Amino acid sequence: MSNSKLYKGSLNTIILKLLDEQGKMYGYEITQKVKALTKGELQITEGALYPALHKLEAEGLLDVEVAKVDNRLRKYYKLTEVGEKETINRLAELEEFIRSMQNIVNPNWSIN
Amino acid sequence: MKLSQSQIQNIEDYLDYKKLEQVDLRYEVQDHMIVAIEQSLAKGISYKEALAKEKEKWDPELESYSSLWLSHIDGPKILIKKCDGYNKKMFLETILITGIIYFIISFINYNFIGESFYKFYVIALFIPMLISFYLSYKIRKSNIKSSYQYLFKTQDIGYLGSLVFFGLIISFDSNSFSTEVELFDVYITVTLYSYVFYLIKLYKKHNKVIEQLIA
Repeated sequence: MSNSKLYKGSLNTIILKLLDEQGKMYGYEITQKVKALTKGELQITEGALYPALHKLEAEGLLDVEVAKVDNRLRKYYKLTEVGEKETINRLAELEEFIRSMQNIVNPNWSIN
Repeated sequence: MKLSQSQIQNIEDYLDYKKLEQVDLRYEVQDHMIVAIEQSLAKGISYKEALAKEKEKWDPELESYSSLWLSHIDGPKILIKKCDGYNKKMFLETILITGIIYFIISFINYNFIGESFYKFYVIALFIPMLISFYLSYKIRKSNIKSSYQYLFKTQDIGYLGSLVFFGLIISFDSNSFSTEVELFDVYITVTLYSYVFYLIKLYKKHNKVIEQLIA
């Protein structure tokens, strides 16, 4: 995407939403899923993804599970109970934000 | 297409060069690089080119970095940023908890004067000191390095220093036969307790990393 700054404030919500849908995911998987969902428009860099994951973990919204894959360790992230509740709140906030932006940019267009 | 052992060793060497020693971060970065390179190989890109591309992506995240929240101690950026997040949260929580307790105590009718209360206060001050000394010893003895162990070690020296400093003030007070506990003393004690809970949390997280490695 030409201006990835527009996505920056929503990165944590995107991660929470994906984990809510998928159950558990590892870092590389998240980057690829976002890339696929946005048809390559949004590419999350390592420098943005991992600090966001670690921050959400520190806030108690994510928990970590480690599994052995191909003889090496893989770190999976999943939502905690608090994280599940927070995901609902943050998605509602994001939807409200999109509606407000829509009213400014294109009042005739609808999110639904 | 899976990477060979020698190809994985190249990634290990790169992480060694970048001094990423903390296992919880190291296996996360290593796994990411391996999967990304395997995907590139599947697209027909050569291993050499794929590895160079991954290194280029990770270089900024593994470069030497320092932060005011960690007293400007150097380390790989990904590690320092993770520790930053924990420290900021802890500082804010400590300020909030101690502020609330200080506010409550300053408004209730309290009596912190008297020998029996003073003895209780001295014992209360020694408990976090003993816990933190014990945890410091245990975590430093651990052979496995984690980001939580790193953060613990950057925090406990200052914490133990302030405990010793405060202990000296207490002994000075007892030498002068003062048995009055000032409101400020209570504030300091609450801060020390908040901090020791933070060290316990980090110690537990470090142990969880070890458990996950063993499992």
